[in-house]
Amino acid sequence: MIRRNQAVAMVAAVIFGVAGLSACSSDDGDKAAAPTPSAPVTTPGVPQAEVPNPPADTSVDAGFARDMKVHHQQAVEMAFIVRDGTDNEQIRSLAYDIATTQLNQIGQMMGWLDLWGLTQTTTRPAMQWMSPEGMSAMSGHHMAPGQTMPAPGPGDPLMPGMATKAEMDELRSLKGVAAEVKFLQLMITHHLAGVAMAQDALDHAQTGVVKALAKGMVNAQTSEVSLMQTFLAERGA
Amino acid sequence: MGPQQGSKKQNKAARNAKMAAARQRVAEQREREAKAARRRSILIGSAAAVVALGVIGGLVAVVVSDEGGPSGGDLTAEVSVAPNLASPITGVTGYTASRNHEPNKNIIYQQVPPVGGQHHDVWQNCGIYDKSIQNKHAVHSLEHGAVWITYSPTLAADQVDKLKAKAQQDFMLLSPYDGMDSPITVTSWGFQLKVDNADDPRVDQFITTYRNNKDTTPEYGAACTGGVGDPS
Repeated sequence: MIRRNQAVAMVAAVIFGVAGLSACSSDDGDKAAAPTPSAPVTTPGVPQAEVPNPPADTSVDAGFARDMKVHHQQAVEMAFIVRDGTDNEQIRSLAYDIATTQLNQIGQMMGWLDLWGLTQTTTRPAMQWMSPEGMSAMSGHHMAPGQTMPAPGPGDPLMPGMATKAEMDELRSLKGVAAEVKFLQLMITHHLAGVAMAQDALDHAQTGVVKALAKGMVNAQTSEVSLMQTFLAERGA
Repeated sequence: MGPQQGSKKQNKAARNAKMAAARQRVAEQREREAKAARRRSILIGSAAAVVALGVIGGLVAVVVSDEGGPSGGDLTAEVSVAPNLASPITGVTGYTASRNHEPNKNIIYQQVPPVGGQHHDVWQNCGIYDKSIQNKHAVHSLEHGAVWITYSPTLAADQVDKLKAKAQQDFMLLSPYDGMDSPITVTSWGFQLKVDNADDPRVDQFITTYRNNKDTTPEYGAACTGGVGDPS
């Protein structure tokens, strides 16, 4: 009887599981949008400031928000990769913390740019908002092997501390302790450059919300670097 | 030993024999029932396995056929020119488009390249592709805020290099595209610009305006990583 019940449960699980899948995928968006020629002409997508005295398009505040979004996005991706690559709960918790925190912060920075009436992105090179002191603070030990200062030129997607495509591919290919070690190495480099960027924003931004978040990043990521160095040492790397 | 005793003994022996026979019958009956139950279990188990395998097989068939030709039939994406959607950039056409996810259908797009409409449930990873990518995945990336630059396979190499420089940023897709009526097309969800030259200043204006735009990106804040494709 137990076996029969198990068999019935198994069939039911398969059937309901499939029904659930198809229910999820069947409808996930707007209904067909009909042409509306009689509707008034609008120009959606042209940003407008919704706060007084917003930072300018070339300000430290805007540059920090735009560049740190991209910088954070890669950290989120690395965290997801290592969570797929290892069962180690400490590393998975750290990765969860980094992914959820940095994704939340990306959303905060997107919100600022929208309120300031600025575009989310620019075709100008990254890191132009950094001060000379900030840039020099980032050189040396904050750079990953093979990365060189000064700031990336047009068409170079990598800001300081960011992993190359080859490094990301390598992280994806690794499992277990090897994945943990690679993740820790890449994320320490990533965080150190992120801290230098955030410190420069803390020193030079004009907006309270920017300074507050930048200060939080400096503190949290500095602390996480220390934790990751401990984890790395525990793995003999 | 008296006859009564003998009779009692006989009776007892007979009772014992009867009981033994009964026990034997019960045991045999139990054995038959157990065998039947095992047969039923095997039958049910096999049936369940067949159903499960069939379902899994069906899912595999769907996934496999997805790459060659989806099993769910054809669907024409519902997309219309929207004369009321203007752009600050000269030459940009606005569209309204349906957004449903269609994992199993062969989706036909009437715009070349598509500007929106029903699409696959998995998006294309943003980045630079040297070969064409599938419309159904690229359209999902548009929904997430990407700008997709497509170029004719006959476009001069120096022009392609200029486009690659523009596409080396997040939320950008670049791929060759056959059959366009312009050498280069720049597309976001619901907006499209056709240009002849990579140096046309409207390309950068388009990218800056529509990439990750809170008003025109349907799934503002969604990712352009973690999907399909291995861009260079």
